[in-house]
Amino acid sequence: MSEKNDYIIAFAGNPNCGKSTLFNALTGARQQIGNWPGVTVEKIEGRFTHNNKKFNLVDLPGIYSLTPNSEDERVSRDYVLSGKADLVVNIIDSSNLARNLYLTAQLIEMKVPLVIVLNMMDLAEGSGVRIDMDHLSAHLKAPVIGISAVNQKDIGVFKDFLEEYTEKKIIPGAGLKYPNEIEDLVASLITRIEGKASELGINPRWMALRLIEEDPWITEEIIGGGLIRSEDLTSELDVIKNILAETPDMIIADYVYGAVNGIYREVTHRVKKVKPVSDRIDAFAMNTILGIPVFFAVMMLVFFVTIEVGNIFVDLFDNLAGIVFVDGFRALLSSVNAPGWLTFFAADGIGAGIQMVVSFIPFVFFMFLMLSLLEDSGYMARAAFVMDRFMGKLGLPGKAFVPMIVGFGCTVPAILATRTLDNRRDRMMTIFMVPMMSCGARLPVYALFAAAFFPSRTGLVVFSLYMTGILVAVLSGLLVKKTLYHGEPSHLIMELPRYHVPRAKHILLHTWARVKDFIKRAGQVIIIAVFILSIFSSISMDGKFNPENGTDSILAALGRILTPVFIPIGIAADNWPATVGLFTGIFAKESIIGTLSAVYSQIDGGKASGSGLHALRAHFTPAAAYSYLLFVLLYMPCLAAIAASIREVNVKFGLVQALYLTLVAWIVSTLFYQIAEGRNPLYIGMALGLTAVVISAFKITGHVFARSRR
Amino acid sequence: MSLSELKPGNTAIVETILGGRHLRQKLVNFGMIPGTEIHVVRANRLGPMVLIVQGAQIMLGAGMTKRINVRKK
Repeated sequence: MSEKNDYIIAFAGNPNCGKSTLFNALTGARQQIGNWPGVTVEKIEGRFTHNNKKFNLVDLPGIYSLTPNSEDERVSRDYVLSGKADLVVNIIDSSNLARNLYLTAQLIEMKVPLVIVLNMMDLAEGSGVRIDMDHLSAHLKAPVIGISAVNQKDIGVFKDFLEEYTEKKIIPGAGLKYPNEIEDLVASLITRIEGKASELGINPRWMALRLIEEDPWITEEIIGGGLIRSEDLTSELDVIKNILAETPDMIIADYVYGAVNGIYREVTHRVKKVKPVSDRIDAFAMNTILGIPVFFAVMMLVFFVTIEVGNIFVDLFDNLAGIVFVDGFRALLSSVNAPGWLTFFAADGIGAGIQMVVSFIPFVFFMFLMLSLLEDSGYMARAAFVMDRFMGKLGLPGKAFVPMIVGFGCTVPAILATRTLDNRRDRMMTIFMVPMMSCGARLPVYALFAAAFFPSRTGLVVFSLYMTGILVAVLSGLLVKKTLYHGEPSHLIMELPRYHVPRAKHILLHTWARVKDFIKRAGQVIIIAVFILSIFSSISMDGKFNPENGTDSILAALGRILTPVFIPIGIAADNWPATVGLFTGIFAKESIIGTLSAVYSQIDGGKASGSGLHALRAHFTPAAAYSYLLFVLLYMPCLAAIAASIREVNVKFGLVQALYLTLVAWIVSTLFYQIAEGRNPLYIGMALGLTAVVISAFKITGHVFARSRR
Repeated sequence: MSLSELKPGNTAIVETILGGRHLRQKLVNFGMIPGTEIHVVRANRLGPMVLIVQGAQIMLGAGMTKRINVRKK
């Protein structure tokens, strides 16, 4: 229960209505991002104080309606109905009033304390529409305020407004009238369900209407509770269907839209006709032919900014973290005369792990920043449009493209992002392809190798790797479509948001939240991996502790055993550290670099002092280096990603995916290296043979699936 | 006629929607219900369409546009 000076306010509104901007303007950085219990939908909470009263804000997911067809809608509806909020704030995009009012109408029917905020008033006026707010307020019988979130003065007024109505708790008086047949049934149903409604704390009229719409949850409550017999309800609904010649849910929607459009016409005045700038940009961005090069140009820009700008900060972060966590730990422990092994594990184990996490923050930051920019500017939806035809060829909806893009940042959230897809088949196919989208953690590996071997063409080398990943993903998608999942994809339906200048504050907050989450999740795994690695690398096969002699360690032994498998991809027989790197890469891809530089500096001793680049050049030829990068690009994703895949689909799927990726990586790298440099027909033959085996395995599985389905 | 047959610049009224409750509800969310006026902004063979519905631009995939019957204005 909230006390007198402690209130809960819920923000509800359509996607792209400027809800988050307002939320940020009110709460600043005092935000918490988590998940709604039981689902992956993001839960954002924040608070602010005004006139010595505390206001706790809950930002509900952006939704178009409260008919629970998706997790977003279910979460929002349940929260509004729960009565936890002292005030529900419906935020409306003024420049898109008609469509936004549909949700408003649904909120009004719920009979909860509600206020309406016309946001982006500046935009509406720019597009030539003037809204009469008093008139709107009179129609809806609810308080209405108009603001634009960019205006600081409006925020103060908005706070006063929120304070006033959290205390007044005005329940909108407006009510919609439906056709007589429906109204009669509503009246008759109310008498029967009133008790249940007050028990659930829900408005009985709203409940009766949902019952008529055949809403699954309400129907279950009433029928399951034995209040009305299922046959009775069905026959009563059939009467309506026969008279009105349409399903009740469509009739109700029709009336709501009718009312909404009526209000819209009355409260708006078109001042002038303006062709939105968006339309002019879209003439290029969504053009049948031009749209594709525009898309690739935008993608290239994203990667070049991430790599080039990220690179500027990587060394700085790396050096600073090294000084603090590695040298600092060592100095601290030495000063208290700690035993040598303890100092080693603390500094070179945990300290080095922290250093690694810190050093890749710039890359991750810029990648997430660019992704947020794409989302916030409105281009992401255009990308989905441009890609829909192309994705359709793979048997995937254009929307599946978004997890793929997120996959360029990190595979783990990308796998979680597939929850936005509607059917299981689409989700499984997308999850299968996502790891081939080169994640941010692989980027430092490319960057280092490219700097060592192709210093004048760093960007090009990295870009070619990303493109290879996409190509292999496309081929894999076709393979899976042709053999395993024949069905039809779910279809594209989404709003095309207007372009707008990205909001710096919103983007930075969002990026920071994502980076923080990434550091927290990936950080633990990396620190543990580096720590375990330091044990493996400092303890020899006979159990002795010797951090100086890496060549006798357990890890070295493991690397030596496995290296012959990797000779075809261009790893020299004596280059076992490269194999060890691949092994530690399973914990976290970026730890490959840490492993390589640590082991090389141990085996090369003092003689190869200086930068790690020299060490790399001594152990790889340029062709072998590129081949190694191809392997790193494609082989099994990190443990966190495999875990996500297992959690989202099942254990078998996760393991098969890891095996498939590793085999494909081996095939691609072997073919590249043998054609470029090795010229060994036996290895080429082995790679081609393995390709045939993989394809046959998919075909056979497909047949088994098809038979078991029959 | 089917919505998918319309060309950019065409205006039409939605007549019927063929499809299950789930599909219809999603269209309802965007204001696509029988009787609604729609305007085609962008359309090409095979690809998705961009429509103006209830004053907002909506993208609809090819599989969906085939299932919506309209009356051309």
